[in-house]
Amino acid sequence: MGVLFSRLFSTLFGKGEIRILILGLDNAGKTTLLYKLQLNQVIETVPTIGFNVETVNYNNLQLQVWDLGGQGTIRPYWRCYYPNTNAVIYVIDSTDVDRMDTAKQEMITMLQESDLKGVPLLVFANKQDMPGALSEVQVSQMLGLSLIKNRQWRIVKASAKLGEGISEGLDWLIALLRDS
Amino acid sequence: MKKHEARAPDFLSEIEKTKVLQEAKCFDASCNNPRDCIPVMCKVVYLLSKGEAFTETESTEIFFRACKLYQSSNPQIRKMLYFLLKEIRPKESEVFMITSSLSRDLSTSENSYFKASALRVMAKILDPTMLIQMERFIKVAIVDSNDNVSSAALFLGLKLCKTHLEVVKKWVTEVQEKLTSKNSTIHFHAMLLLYEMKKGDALALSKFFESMMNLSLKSPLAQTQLIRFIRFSLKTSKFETGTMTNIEKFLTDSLKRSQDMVVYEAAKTICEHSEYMQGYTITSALSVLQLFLVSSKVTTKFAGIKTLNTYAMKHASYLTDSTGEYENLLTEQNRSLATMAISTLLKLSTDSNIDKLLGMISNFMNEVSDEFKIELIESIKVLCLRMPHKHQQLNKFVGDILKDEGGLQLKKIIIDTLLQLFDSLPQAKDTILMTLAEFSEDCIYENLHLRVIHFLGEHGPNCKNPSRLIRFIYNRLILEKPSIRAAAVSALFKFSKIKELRSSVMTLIQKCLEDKDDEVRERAAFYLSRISKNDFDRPSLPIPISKLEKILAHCKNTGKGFAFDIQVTSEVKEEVKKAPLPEKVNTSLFSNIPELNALGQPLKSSNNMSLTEKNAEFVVNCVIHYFTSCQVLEFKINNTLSDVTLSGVTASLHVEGTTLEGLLRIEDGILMYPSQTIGKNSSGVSYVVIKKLSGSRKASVPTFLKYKVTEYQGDTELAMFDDEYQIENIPIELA
Ligand SMILES: Nc1nc2c(ncn2[C@@H]2O[C@H](COP(=O)(O)OP(=O)(O)OP(=O)(O)O)[C@@H](O)[C@H]2O)c(=O)[nH]1
Ligand SMILES: [Mg+2]
Repeated sequence: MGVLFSRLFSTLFGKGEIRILILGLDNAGKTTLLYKLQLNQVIETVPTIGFNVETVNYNNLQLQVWDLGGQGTIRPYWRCYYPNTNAVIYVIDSTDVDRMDTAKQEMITMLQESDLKGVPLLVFANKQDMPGALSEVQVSQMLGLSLIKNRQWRIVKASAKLGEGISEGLDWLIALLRDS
Repeated sequence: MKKHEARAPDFLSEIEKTKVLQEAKCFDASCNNPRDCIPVMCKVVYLLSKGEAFTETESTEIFFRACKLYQSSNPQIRKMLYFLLKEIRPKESEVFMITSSLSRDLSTSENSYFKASALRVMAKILDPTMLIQMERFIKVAIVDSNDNVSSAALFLGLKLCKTHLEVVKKWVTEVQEKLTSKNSTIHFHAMLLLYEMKKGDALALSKFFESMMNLSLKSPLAQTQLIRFIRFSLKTSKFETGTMTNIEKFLTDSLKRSQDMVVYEAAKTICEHSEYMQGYTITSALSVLQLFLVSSKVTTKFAGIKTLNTYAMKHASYLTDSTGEYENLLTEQNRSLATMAISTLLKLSTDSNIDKLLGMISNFMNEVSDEFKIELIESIKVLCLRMPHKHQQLNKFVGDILKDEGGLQLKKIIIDTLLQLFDSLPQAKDTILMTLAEFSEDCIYENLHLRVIHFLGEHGPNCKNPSRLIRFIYNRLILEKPSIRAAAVSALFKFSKIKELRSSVMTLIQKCLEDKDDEVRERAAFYLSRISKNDFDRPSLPIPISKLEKILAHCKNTGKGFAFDIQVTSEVKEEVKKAPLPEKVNTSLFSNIPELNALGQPLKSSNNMSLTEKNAEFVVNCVIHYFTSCQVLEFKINNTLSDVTLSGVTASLHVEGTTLEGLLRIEDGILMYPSQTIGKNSSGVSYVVIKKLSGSRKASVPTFLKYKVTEYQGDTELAMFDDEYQIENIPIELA
């Protein structure tokens, strides 16, 4: 992170234009997370066909948060939203052991995109409130996060439903963007 | 023109697709500025509405860009966005991209404008998946207190009726509620929608009509449309006597309304379904229409005469009293009106005035459009049937129109008429065959031509003078294209039934054995062999034609299906996903860094400086080595944490307002050798080389340690990110 980057980010913060993508397989809890963040309540969701975009006020910062649908048919279109992204939040349904590998493959595909080069990644091991949820350690292993060397990343255990872990993750992300 | 352009450049002509597509990149900006976006959006709409061709990639690109504008809740941008989405008409496979956004507009937005517009966008682009999500929101929107929203939802419902009637039917309660709306558009749309829901079921429909007629609709538009619906339904459905009485009463009442539109619809309906109406109802409808004829408005006059004309077709006797009024219309400047009047008069004509009428028509025949010629042909047909003894004149008249220029539709209708008359007027058969034969001399419509030739073949052999027809058909063999020649061969063959003509027909067909076209030659050979076997009847197929057709269609379909399958399987290629390349870990940096070792022995080294608290998480010490040309800062970092490793540790020195950091070249004054990874509970070294300048002085410099942290739980990594850590100021020599 050089001088240039510091300047860039200070202008970003100055204008309050932080653009965050929430990605992850369908049913992971992305939309739940978005509206938990925005409205601080758990709304009833339907599978997202397309995307939701909201401006979220977080610690006096304006975040523009994009929640893209995670269904297989929609995933190929994620890449249309990569340009100008400041951070990616990847949400995992920690109870969905069977699809962990799919989640991994999709993540790897995403991280290869040049538009997301160097963009920090926050992984939420979501649905921790549910019995049978894998721990963040297990999720990290199954996703092979340790292979990620070219960007900053963190995995945090979370429950979008209970609102747990969200601020831990987001604080980290914001601090990162601010400090860079 | 050129000059004019030079003075005031036409800005529209400067809107150019590739440029606009470039400009549309501004939609991606994370903070849309209306002043940037809206003009570009306008340009896209302009291009689309002007019919500019966008390739598939381009329209996909512009659609996705446009979708992103949803991030802005600026009303101007949003307004334009809805407009744009309607124009773009995204591909069905991509529409889903805005499903969630539109559903949010409907479900949570407080903004009625957004709601109504979202519904209107959906009316253009809704796909089945989207409908499933939207269904309940649309239902609620129908009864929205805001008229715009309600109206848009009803309109969407109308659109959906064509494709998803079952879904729409579930909203019947909501729609019914809107029938009583004070807003005339809403109650109009509600009525349209209810009709669509009920029209499939005669009983429901009659109940619907009963309740609508009781409602005494205030909007003339709704009233008119209701009468139309009644008219359409009477064509297909039968209603009970009670309902019919109510309908008749309703129509009679409507005749007394003040709006021409309503009155006209009612009169037309009564005329069209006069068989269900009482005599006095019909009389009042006819007299209303006759009043229309003296209206000051041409359209009203025309509507009147057109309806009377149609009615005259069935029931000429009702109308003969008022021929005077129709004759007045003959002097109308408006040709359509005059033609319609003539057409009516023809239907009402008698032996005594028919010749006069035909004379009048011929006078302005060339000023009349095909559409009205068709109208006249219809009248002539009725007339022929009514006055068979006039068929010569009438046929000549039709034949003349046939010879004139005219579109396919007109020619087709004339031929249809002639063929019908052929069946119903035995005495006209020969005349009609001659008319058709002459027409075949210069027919430019292939299908019609084939039909005529076939007809000549079928019926020609039975006429009085078949050899005359043969000449016409033979001409086809010489003059026409292969498909027509082939048909002519078949037609000729039919004449070989007649003994006296057989040998000459054979001679003619024999010539065709040398035709350039395969089909013609084959037919010729086939027919010659049949003639030689005295086999003149149509050969029967082993299976019915319809069955054969089905079998062939099946073969064709399965063949296609098979090919399609192959394509599908070959298209579904698993996308190969590559794992990211693990980053190369730089292992060459040890304390024995060749470049540093090359400096030789330092002139002197400082004492070990402790830069952190003794019990800090990362304990940092520093020794400065002084060389002639530079000073090397050696940082020793001791990581005391058991769940964290550090890598790439470097220092960042804040010297008099600027920050010295990063891997700069030594010529720039500073050079960093970041540490290797420092494991849990272990230590590592990082070097910073600072160029020494002459006349140096000492300064105490604020310093940060910068590094990558990797957090662990056990052996599993949970995070990796950049961090920094302020340590004590360092005294270094500066210029
Ligand atoms: N128990 C539990 N359920 C959750 C949690 N987060 C989300 N859910 C539920 O998981 C389901 C899916 O949540 P969504 O937020 O719609 O999932 P999504 O990732 O947006 O899915 P797509 O839009 O299809 O990509 C919903 O029923 C949520 O209530 C959580 O932390 N705990
Ligand atoms: Mg969702």
